[in-house]
Amino acid sequence: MNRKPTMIIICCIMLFILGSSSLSNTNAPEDINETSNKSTASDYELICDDQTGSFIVKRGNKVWNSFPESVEIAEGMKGAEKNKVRAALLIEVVNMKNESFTANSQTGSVFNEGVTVIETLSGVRIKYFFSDYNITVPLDINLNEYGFSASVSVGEIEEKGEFKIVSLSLLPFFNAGYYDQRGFVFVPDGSGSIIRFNNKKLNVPRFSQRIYSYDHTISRFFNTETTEDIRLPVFGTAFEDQYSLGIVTKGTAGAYITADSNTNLNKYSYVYAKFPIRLKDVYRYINDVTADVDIYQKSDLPDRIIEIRYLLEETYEPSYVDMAKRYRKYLIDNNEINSSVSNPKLYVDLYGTTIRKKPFLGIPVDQIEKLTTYSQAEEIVNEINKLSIKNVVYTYINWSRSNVWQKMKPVHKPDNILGSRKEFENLKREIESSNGSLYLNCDPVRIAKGRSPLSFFTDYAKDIRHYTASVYPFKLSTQTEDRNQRGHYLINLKNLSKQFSIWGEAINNIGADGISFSGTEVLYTDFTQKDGWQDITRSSMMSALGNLSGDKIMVTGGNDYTLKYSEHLTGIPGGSSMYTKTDDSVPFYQIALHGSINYNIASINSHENYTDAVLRSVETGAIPRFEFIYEPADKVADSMHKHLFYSHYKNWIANISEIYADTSEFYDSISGVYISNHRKIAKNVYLTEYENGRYSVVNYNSSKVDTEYGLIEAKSFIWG
Amino acid sequence: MNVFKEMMYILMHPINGFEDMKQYKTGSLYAAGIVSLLWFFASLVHTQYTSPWFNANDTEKTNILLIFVSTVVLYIFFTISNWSICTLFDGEGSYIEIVIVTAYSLIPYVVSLFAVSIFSYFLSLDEYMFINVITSVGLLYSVIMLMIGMIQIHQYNFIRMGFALIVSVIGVFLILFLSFLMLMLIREIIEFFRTITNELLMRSVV
Repeated sequence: MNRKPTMIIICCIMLFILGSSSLSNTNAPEDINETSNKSTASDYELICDDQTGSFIVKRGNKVWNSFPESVEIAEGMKGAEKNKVRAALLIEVVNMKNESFTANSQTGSVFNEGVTVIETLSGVRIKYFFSDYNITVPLDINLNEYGFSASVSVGEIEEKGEFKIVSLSLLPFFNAGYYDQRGFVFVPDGSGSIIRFNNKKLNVPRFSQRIYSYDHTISRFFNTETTEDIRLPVFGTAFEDQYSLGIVTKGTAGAYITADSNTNLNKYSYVYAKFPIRLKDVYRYINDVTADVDIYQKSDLPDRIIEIRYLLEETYEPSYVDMAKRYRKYLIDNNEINSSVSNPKLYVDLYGTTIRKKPFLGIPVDQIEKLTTYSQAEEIVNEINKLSIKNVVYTYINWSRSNVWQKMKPVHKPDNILGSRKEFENLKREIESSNGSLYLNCDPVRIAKGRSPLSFFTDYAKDIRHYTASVYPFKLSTQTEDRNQRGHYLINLKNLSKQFSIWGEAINNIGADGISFSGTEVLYTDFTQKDGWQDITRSSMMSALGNLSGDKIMVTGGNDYTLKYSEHLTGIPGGSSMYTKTDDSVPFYQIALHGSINYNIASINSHENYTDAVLRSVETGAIPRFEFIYEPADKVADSMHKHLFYSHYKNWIANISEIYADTSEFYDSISGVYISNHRKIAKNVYLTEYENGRYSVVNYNSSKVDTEYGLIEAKSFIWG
Repeated sequence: MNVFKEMMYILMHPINGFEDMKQYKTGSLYAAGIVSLLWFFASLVHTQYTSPWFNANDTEKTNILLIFVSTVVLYIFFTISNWSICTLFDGEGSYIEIVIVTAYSLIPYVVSLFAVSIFSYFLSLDEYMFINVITSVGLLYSVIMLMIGMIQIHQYNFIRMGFALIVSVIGVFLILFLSFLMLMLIREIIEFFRTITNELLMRSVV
């Protein structure tokens, strides 16, 4: 009679059981006792397991796991490897005997029931207690409008035993891909590279590179590889119908990005960031058999935060283009980019002087060698104007004596060896006549050794032993430090901002159109402060550049923290380091930034192959750049700028005219327009599409190629 | 003028010339100084201004100090060494005599250096051997003059002179070695104070 309510109840029970069983499939432990959290500002939902600390982030039906759920059924993997995959943290500790140990949160904490989960305002705090080492690490997972962020406040790490934590890796296997899935890992090496899942490069070391570059105040005895630096602190994994993009937002400088494709031991392809917590240097006893000594930073754990933001997106067959576009949106939304495009046609770097050993009373001493005087520069500008190229950006390098000698001075003045004030004004007028602009270069960060002895004690950054740090170039032959060459010091943080403004003021007083900064890509830890770390230098540089707001700024290298302040980026990476582990070099950087900011890659005349350099510029939407000197190239032989042997301007004027004829209209049409797509359409043939429908197809092959866009000659390009 | 005449006489008749010089004490110390400076100047001209065809030196990297050391300083060291040795071996020459004889003996070599530098602009590459011949003759003449001079001022026989010269050369090396040792010692002392400063610096901060 009254069967209907009973049926409903039975149905409800069945649905409940079904629901919970499907949940317990995604989260392995049977006794699920979860903390659920739904942030109001976010479409995402966070479900965290009380016992293991593993969590899932949901948006609608889409679920992202803190570790790949398929690990439970993965074949051919040992238990220890599986546990590593399940871990949310990897830590590295040392004891007082300087023995180093590594541990993961799964075996080190979860198995010993050392996990505590506390609900917070917008997420959870998962405390992992590593009983072997008596260390507790609190991992905060917070939802936000993009996805979630994983962070650790270093000051709240508890170390009760003799073990000290030296490094920490967050969510190493978040969104890791199984080997039979079709997908890739993105790493920001140079302009970007991708590592495909199951790429079968088993005997190659995994990818591991420091964000930005090495720490300049930490000893470096060898330089065995030439690589492109990481410019953007972003990495990601993409497969099936989704991708995740990790952005290192706090503790960025000094962190390492580590990635690998699946190997025989581990069937997952992953990418994660590893953060050094205590810095380490090596003291080497020169001329002594005593073994090298490791020196760790002597400090309590300071109050600072390391954080990665994960952007989670669903899209069908995601590619690096989707990732780059997402990152572009992130930069714009967070106001991290200065969107101003002034449509320059050409960048020209002019070198005023260099330093070279010349005889003085018969004794060879370092002296200034003139390369391009003001009136000679005017002549070069005139030659370029004759080609009727408008809107050229000129960067004058070594225009001041303190510039070429790398001196720290209260006032910087143009070098009278290059000509009179009047000649300088004439140069400016000549540049203005064709709507061009003049940027004067300076390097407030690197100060040459032995120029101002007193500053040695007060003005330069110290190394880990509190001794003034000096940096030397490396020998090409032995790849060791060359202490016979001119070395330099690095300005300490107390003086950093001041140096930026002194140079800024000097350049403004001269009446240049803008300031070109070198040295903003040089990051180092200033150990003058006890708890110094590289990220403080990063934020100091940001505030130093911020103080100059209102000026037009050009920066070298184009690291992410300079984007907000820059009008032009010069010398951004045109490709990747081409590690054996990586499969393809991709223009992620350019896709993210084109249309928002003007940039150029390595100068065309410095490239060993002129045609390839032009093609690379066209493919990446980079504006061509040339480096010029007026004097013949023998003037730079054995000088500080001996690499400029190619730069005598007369040899290149015809090439400029040729490039300009071929590309001028194309660059006009894509100025300020975002890149909408980039892909390889045949071997060594790349297509770049822009949001306004323009495209370029570049053929790097030495034979012609027939594409759907038309026939492209060898080493040539077409656009439309 | 008198000095110049004497010099010419010695160059033409070294045995009699040096004997007279010793007997009447006519040698000029100024002339000796000038000759040693001329040697320096000749070497400089030779390295810097020999025609590029015959010049293997990188003229842009010429270091005047090195040339000074390898001429004038070497000359001073030789005279000191010779004086010290000959005092031990019953030589009768005074230090001033040694200085003068050594300088006068250098004249042929100095002249050959100048000559070679000038001739290098008139000779073709095939005639390179003439350059060698001129310098070799100059050097040989200088050495012979030095030998005769030593025999005369120290009143040695040939064998003793030969022995004294060889030991003098060894003496030059000894002086060089000792001066290097001295320099190293000074460097060590500076390094010592530098280390102390470094240590103080490292300890002073926190």
